[in-house]
Amino acid sequence: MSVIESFLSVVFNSSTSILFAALGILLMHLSGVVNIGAEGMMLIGAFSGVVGSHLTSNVWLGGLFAMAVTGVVGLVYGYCTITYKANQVVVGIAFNILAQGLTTTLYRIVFGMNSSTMKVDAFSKLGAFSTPVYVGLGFVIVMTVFLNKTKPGLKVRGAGEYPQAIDSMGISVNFTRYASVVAGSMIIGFGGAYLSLGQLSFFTENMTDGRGYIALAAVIFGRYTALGTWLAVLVFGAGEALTYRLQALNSGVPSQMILMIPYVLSIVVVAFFGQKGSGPEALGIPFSKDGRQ
Amino acid sequence: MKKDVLKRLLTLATAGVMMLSMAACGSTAGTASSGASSSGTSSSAASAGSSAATSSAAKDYSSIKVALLLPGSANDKGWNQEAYEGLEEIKALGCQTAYSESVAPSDYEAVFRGYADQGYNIVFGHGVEFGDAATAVAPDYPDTMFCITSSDLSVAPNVCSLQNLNNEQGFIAGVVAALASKSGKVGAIGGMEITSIQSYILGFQQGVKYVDNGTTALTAYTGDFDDATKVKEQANAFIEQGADVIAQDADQAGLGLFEAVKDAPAGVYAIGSVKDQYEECPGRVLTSALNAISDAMAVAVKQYAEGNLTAQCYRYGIKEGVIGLADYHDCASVLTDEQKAFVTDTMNKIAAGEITIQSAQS
Repeated sequence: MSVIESFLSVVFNSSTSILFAALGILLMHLSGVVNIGAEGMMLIGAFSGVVGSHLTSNVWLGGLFAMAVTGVVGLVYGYCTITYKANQVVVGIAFNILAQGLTTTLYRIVFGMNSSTMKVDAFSKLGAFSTPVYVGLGFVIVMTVFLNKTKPGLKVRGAGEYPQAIDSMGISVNFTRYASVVAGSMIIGFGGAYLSLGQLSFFTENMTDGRGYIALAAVIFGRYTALGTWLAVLVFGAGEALTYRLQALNSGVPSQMILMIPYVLSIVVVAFFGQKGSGPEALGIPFSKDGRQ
Repeated sequence: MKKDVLKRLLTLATAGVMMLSMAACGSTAGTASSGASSSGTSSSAASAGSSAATSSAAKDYSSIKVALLLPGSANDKGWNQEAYEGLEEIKALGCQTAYSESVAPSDYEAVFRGYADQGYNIVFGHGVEFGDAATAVAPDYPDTMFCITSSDLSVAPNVCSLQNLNNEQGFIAGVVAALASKSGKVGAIGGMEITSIQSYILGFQQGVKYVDNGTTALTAYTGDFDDATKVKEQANAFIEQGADVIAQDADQAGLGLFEAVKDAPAGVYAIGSVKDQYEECPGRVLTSALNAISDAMAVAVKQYAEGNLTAQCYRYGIKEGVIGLADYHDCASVLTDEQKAFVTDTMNKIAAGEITIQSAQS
């Protein structure tokens, strides 16, 4: 395998979990609902994916199980933020903290505190990449078409941009948002499941390690488009892949400098491309017909 | 009006959920009362006024409260779990125990103070990173002994340290790796670059050099102890560079090494860390460089009971049996008998003090 080929395989393999999470966040944000809780949703997805794969001995059923569970989580998130109009940032943070405690506790209840890790079936590889990597790439195209070329996609964007207009057309803003939140959460959950079932074959506590926040940043860098988000995710992935290669070369460069690369790269990217990244107009604002909150 | 009430209830519920989950992830504190049956006899001996209480056989541990602060998950199959098991040993002595896991660096001082306020006699901070916080709170709690592992810290009168010699652990991992390597390249991956992990990596490099068969040591840090995928990808990068034996010292994140080795071409082996990690990937785990800090913790508590635990750095290495090598299991044929004898011989020399190993700690 050539150097470039293997470098790219690391970039794609390690960025796919963030890609799914970012696309899920994108869908939610475009409908007008802020989701800081993606980190927690990924963690729940990673955990339930392992449980599903363990119970069914089928990794795809594991992935579906993860989506089902995070779909329910998304429903709760929607209930808090859409129906009861709670502060979306606060609910998101609460979800993150809840997810960390919940998955840790449930993991120990289900698998116990054993001396070795509980391994489950993982996604097989197709060529250099894990199968979900292709699904992720296809999904970027699907999302782009959905958001720009279809009626439901237009409704979603309308709900986030100017909900009153959607409402005056007789379309339920809150139903559109609910649908986006649940679907978005399921996509995020699959991203989490890819982490535990695609990159690894086990769950470790707090394994998402900030990926939900990176995904959030990628959405903003990507200027709220699916294609832009994908490119932003790739930049992060490339920065990470570079750190592994550079350290393996034994160049004598201090490891702190090398570990800094992904973050420096992010700052550079924001500085050059991030200025115009304005979100949907009604992002974070709960919708009421009478205009009051 | 009704909506208002619901809103408030929701806020309250959210706050409740947050607190509950914080309690679950922040401090899974299991305060256990002492084992009644074992302490029953010793306390009656003490009440009889006999001086037998000073003999180590019938010590009453039930009045000693021991707490443990972990930097990571108590279920990490490595560094943190080792200490958790140490606490279980201490509990078996009859002590009252409690622990907090995945303690965030910003909370070190608060959690230390929390336990000291509750009258805990010994509070362990599991890792060199707890040193500063312990030094800061110790003067306020003269009755509590703060004990930091894998550190060289000591502050009179009540901060001591148990230094499990990571440099020796890394050294034997390096010796085994260099002997087993066919490609002439071996790797070691550390988690966060803190002095204890640096000592391991330094030891590894010296161990490889000690074998002196032309093997190069590649080393790297991933920067944290949680993210197993980073360790996996780093190991893959090493394997691509031609390394065929890779060791890790990265707690829970280190489990990623076994994922990389599982998919690697035949002839690539992993060396586990802290505990015997053979079961993580049977057939591919050459051996593990053990770090049985749990024993040292129990010894410290016994010393405390005898009034002998003072503010100094207690060193535990190969000589004390804390650092060691696990079984080769089904990889026993990778090293020849001659090479295995060389490993044992090297360990004996380290125990006897004939080999000096540099460390990032004093």
